[in-house]
Amino acid sequence: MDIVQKRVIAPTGLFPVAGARSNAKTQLNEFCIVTLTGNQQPMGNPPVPWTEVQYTDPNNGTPVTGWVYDGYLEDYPNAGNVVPIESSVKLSYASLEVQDILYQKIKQYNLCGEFSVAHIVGDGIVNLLNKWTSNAPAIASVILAKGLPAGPDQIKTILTMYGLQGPFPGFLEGLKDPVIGKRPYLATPGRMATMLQSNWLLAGVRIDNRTGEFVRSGGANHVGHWIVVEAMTPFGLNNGDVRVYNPFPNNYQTITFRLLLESMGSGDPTLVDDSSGFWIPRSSPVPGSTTG
Amino acid sequence: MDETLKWTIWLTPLEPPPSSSGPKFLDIPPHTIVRPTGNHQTAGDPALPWTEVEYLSQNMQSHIGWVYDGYLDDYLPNFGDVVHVDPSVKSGSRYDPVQDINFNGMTQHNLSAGFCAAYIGGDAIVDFLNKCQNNPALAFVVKDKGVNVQQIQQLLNTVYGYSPSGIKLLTDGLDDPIMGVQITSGRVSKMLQTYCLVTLVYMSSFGEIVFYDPSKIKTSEIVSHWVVVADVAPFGFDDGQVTLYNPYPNNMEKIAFRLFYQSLGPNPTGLWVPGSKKLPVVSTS
Repeated sequence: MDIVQKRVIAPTGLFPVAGARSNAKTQLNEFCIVTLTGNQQPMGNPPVPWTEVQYTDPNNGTPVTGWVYDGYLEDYPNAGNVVPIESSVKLSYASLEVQDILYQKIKQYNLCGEFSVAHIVGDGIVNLLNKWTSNAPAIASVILAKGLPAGPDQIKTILTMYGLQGPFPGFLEGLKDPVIGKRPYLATPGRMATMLQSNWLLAGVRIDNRTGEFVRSGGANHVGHWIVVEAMTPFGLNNGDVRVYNPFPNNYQTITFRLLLESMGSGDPTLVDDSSGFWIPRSSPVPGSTTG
Repeated sequence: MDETLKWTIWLTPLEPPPSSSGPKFLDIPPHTIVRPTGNHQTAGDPALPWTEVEYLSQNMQSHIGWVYDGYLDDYLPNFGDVVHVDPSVKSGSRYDPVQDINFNGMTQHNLSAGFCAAYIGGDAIVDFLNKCQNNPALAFVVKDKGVNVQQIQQLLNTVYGYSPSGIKLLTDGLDDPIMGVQITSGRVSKMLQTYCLVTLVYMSSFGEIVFYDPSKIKTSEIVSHWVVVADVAPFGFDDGQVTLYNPYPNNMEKIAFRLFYQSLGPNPTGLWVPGSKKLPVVSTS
C-alpha cells in the first residue's frame, strides 16, 4: 500500500480515540507532516470524519499514533526525488525538509549547496558526497563532519571536480552591460532569461527553515539557502515566471521573478550583488535557444 | 511592421540620433512603456545598438528620440480576448488595459465586474453590457464606478438566472463546522471542482495582482479589482498555482496561491458561483 502523508494546517491534539477533545498524546502544529494509517471514523452529530495518523517528533525520533479531526489535514504534494537519495541515508520519519539525510552517521541539515550541484551535474547525492570526500578531503571533511553549510568557494570545488570550469561569474558580473556597467537594475527578466539559455544560476535566497518557502526577510526562522534557477519566462513589466530546483523539498517549483529577486536581496531587489549567486556554464545550451 | 513594445529598466536618456551630436532631450522615468518606431542604428566602437522610440509623458505629449538598447527590455503584457471585445469599442492605445473599452459614450475604467460576469456567462462584453443596459436595475455597471459584491451577485442572478441560494459568499464556502473559516490551497481547490470564485483582489496600476498594502491603497498605487479564479493546484506548504481570469489584460494567468491569498486583503470578499471553470485535462494516451 502506498504511504500517504499529509500536512497539518493548524495546531491540534493527537488524541487516543476518534472524537476526543482531551488527553492528547501529543500536540501537532502547522509544520508537522503525518503518515496516514488508513483508518478513518465518522464521529459526532452531524458526523464528521476523524483520521488515524502516525507522527514522529524529529527531536526524539519516537513515533506516536493517534486520531485527528480530518479538517486539520491537507495533502502535501511537494516532496520530490529530483536528486536521487539512496534509501539507506533517508531519515526514518516524514519531514518537510527532504534534503536532510544521514551521511556517515551524521544528520546533515545544510546540504542545499551539495544538492544543487548534484542536480546540475546529474548525480545522486551520496555519490557526489563520496566523490567530494575523496577528492577534496580537507574541505569536505570539515563541512560534512560539522554539518556546516557550503559557501561559494566550497561549492566551486565540487563543480570543478565534475569538470565544470570557472570562472563562475558573480550574479551581477554575468549581467554586466558594456555601457551601463554593473548595476542591480540590470537584473531584469529579459536579461536573466538570455543568460539562462547557456548558464545555470546558483542563487542564494532566503527561506523559512520550517517550510522551505521563499521569503523576503526579517523573520526569526528565515535562513540563507542555495537553489538552482533553471529558466525564466518574462511576463508583464519587470515580472515573469521562474522555474527553480529547490533542494529543501528536492523538487522543482515555479515562482514569480519578483519573489526571487526579493528573496535574493533579503527583501529589497536593489540589494542584489555579486554575492547573491553565481553563473555556471551549461555544457550545451537549452534546446531551442538561439545563441547567435 | 509593429515591433514589441519595450519598457525602460532605469532612468533612461532620450537623445538625438547616435550618429549626431547634441544634448539629450529628457530622461524617461524607470519602468515606463515606450513604443519603438522601427528605426535602429549602431554607434561607437565597438558598435552598440540604439533604438528610436516614442515616449508619452504624463500630459500625453509625444516625445520621439533615441535610446541605447541596454536600457530597454521587451514588454509582454499578456493581453488576450478571453471575453470577446468587439473592435469597435476597443481602446485606441495598444497598452491601455483591455477592459477599458469605449461604451455608452465614455471610456469605461471600472468594468472588471462586468468582464468577470461576462466570462462566467460566456458572453462577449458588448452583448453582456447591452443586456444590462436594457434593465434599469443593472445600469450601474456602465456608470464607470466600482461594483460591490451585492451588485455582482445581482448581475449574475438577473442576467444569467443563477439562483440566489446557489451562490455562496467566499467565506461561507470555506467555513468548517469545527474549525471555522480556513482559506487554504487544498480547500479552495476542492471548492473549485464544482464552483468558480469571483473575488476582489488588489492590483497595481499595470494590472498585476499584488500583496495587500494599506499604505499603497492610500496613494492609489494599488486598487481593488474583480477576477475569477478557475483552478488551484496545491503545492508545498499551503502554496500552489492559481489559474484565474484577469479582466485587465482580458486573459487567463497563473499566480502563486500565497500571492493570491495575500492580495485578498484583511476582509476576503467574493462569491462562489455554481459551475466549475477548471480546464479539462487533456488525455494524450
